[in-house]
Amino acid sequence: MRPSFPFQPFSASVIRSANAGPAGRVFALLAATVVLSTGCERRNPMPTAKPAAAAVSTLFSPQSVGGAIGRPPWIAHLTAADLDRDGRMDLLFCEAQDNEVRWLRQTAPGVFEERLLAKDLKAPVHVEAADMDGDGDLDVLVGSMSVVFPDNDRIGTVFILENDGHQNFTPHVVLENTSRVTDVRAADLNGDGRMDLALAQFGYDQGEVSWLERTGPWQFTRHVLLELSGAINVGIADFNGDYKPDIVALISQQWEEVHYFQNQGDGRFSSQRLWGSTNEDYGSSGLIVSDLNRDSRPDVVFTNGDGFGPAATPGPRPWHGVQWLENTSGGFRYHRIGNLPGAYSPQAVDLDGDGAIDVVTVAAYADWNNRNRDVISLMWFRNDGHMNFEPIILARTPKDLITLTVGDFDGTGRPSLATGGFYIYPPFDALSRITVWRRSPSP
Amino acid sequence: MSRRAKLIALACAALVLAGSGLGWWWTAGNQARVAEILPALPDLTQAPAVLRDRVVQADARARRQIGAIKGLAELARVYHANGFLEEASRCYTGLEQLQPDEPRWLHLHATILAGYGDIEPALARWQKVRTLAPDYLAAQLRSGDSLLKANRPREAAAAYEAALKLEPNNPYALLGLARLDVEAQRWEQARPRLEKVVSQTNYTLGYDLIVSLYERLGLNQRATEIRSMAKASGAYRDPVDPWLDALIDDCLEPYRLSLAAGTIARNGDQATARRLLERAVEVAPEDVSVIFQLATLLVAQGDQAGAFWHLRRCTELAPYFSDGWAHLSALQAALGDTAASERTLAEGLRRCPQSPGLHLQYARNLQRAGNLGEAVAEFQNSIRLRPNEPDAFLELGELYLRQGRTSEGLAEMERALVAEPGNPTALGLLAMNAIMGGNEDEARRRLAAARIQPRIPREQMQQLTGAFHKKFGHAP
Repeated sequence: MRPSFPFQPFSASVIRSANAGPAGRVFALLAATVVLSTGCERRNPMPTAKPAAAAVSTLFSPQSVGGAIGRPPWIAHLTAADLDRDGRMDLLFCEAQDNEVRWLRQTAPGVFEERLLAKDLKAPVHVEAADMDGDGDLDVLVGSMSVVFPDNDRIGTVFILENDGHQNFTPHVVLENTSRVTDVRAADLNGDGRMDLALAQFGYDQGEVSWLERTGPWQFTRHVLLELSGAINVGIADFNGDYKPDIVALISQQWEEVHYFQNQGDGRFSSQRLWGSTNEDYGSSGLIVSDLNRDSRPDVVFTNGDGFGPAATPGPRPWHGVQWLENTSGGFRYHRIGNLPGAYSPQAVDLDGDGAIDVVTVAAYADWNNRNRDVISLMWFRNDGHMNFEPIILARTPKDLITLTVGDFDGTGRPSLATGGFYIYPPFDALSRITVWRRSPSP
Repeated sequence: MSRRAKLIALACAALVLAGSGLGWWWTAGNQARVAEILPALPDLTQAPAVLRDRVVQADARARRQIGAIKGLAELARVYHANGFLEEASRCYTGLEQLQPDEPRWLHLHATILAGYGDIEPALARWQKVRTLAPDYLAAQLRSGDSLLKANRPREAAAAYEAALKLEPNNPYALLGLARLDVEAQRWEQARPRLEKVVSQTNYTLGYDLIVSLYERLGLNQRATEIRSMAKASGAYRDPVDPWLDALIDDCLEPYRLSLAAGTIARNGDQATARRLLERAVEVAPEDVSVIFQLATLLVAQGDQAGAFWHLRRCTELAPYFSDGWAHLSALQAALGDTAASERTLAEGLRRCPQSPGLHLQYARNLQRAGNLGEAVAEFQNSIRLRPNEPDAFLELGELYLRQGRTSEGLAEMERALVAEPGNPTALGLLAMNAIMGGNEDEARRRLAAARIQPRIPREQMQQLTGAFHKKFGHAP
């Protein structure tokens, strides 16, 4: 297991030299005489600069899919789902500026056809597919902020787009006039056989983590689990092995914490903080649940890369990167995976087929000002099987990617990647809308 | 020379030699220890030359026999101040071993570790700092925060109480205690603490928790009053930490300087912010981001000549950066040079034709000049380019309404509400329009939406409610 902070302790010789014995002292005194008599001072040799940290891979090649770029895109989220259940993985995504959720249907291996699923959704920022009414087709959950930029008004909305079985969707507003919603996930949280929802509600100065109890066909009752602003993501899994779905949530703003809501049954949850940083500029940016070490206990992987702050433009911080919370029998243990300025949207996937789960993330806004810098936009942290992660650069362009998903997007049966770009600052170059990262042909 | 004198001279010489030897042995030992600690130089290829030189010089000093430990401390400071945190951390680890009674290294190292989210080793260090420097307030506060994060509430409370002994009513300590109360659902205990915090800090601290607390306690009116104070506050600031804050004197990295300057300016110390930004511009004279930040600060300080120079530099260095043109044009207008302002705006639009902000600024100018037809077209251009912000909709709507084009004006207000569903201007105006038009259902719906918007002043809500009553003969 890699140490939680990437430094080795000093070698024992450092300590030994500080406690040298009498013989050593005599030798030192003699040597001193010689050196002083010649007026020389010993200097340690200068080290050479460290080589660049990350290797570069050409494992994937980018290919734009879907519509052309008009205005600089605002792809807030994309996810992989076989929406029409035809055996091919599709993509669903949110265009927050156009207030739309769209569907990229994979009509043939690697061929995508774009279709509007719903419009007027008020700055949608999260989309998920789930069968909410038990009719065997996938409905679509949408979390909307209404306004992406800072706003503390209660303007958040949760939509469910009901699928009629032929991929015609009817929107239902299931929650509105609430703190801005950034994530929505479905599960039967109270064990009544009906799908409920877990929500991250960022708000701004006030926000919540909450769950929506199903009370009717498209009716829900909201229960607040935590009253803190800045909730980015929620994840649902049975973390303690009691066969009940628990919830984890990533909280940003000045709190910078991961919270765990253990399901006590019958809609009751206990609350516990799993991790927290005292760095109010930590920049939490994304969380997923994955059994990263394959010990049959779900772990938590999260990024910190939000570089917005008191400067005129967003930018990198030295602590930006990826980490995981190992779910152990004695609780959750923090481990750093690696550094990546502007890291967003972690995904866990065995990218190289070696049986170990790797981590892939995108990055955004890591360098507004200097286009000559080697800013990374897609990074693979390759797991050596012992939870040591080697950073491997997958791409530097297109820039400003904030959402990433994994799936078989070319019919090869192997995982490929898809990313979305979100552009808010000029210069508007190296843009992308939806990019599928296909595996490059073997040399 | 007598035999006795010779003996004394020899003894003195021997003593000098022995002392020198001892000194040499000591320094050589330190040098060897420091040598084992020193990290490899980081990749400095992208760093400004002055920073590169500073790191290399500090590294060289740490490698000397004389003053190696001092050199190591300097190197740690330079690395930490300029964002080379892994290198700084390694230096601090060494300094902790070489000078175990110096709390500063432990504290600075802990801030790095906690900054990465590695809270346990940070906490261990802060616990030591509390013993070594019990009067250092920032360490007590950080220790309390770390213990809170580590779910050790009793120990966290003790740390916050220790901070309060050092500085009674310290708002960060009170905030920490209040948060512990909230987590333990001790609502009534949290309330006076949070009220003291917001009162002392004018709502730059505690503004977040106190609203949720009031709502939980059923004090909705008080919660609404705080919510109405800002569309989005985000006012939180870190506590003062002299040991950490002093590092900025060694910072030569432009972006870190700009971050620090931004924080310091928000805290009201514009002179220091200016000094840091000027240093950033000196280090990186072509860094548009810091030049622009300095220019906006100079505008706020009233240094129009300085601001003008730097804004013009922005437009030269980054003609694609529309905010540079917009601010330069606005400054020229403020200086009374309307012709220059218009020329700048026109040039900005030529260089950045897709800038919604510049089109909006141009529309305002046209409207002021009475050229309403062209103003409408420019408002529409701005809207086309940025349909998710309400300003252009609102201004176009108001223009239509003043022209008597009521339905078009109201339509723009509706669009403003799509862009910002809680916009107080649009909500109020549309509610009043529904009332005046006698559409009771719509008026009730609009009033309901206005009622949940805390930023609509109470007097305006009373006017709307009164107008509804007058029109329909009953309360909404």
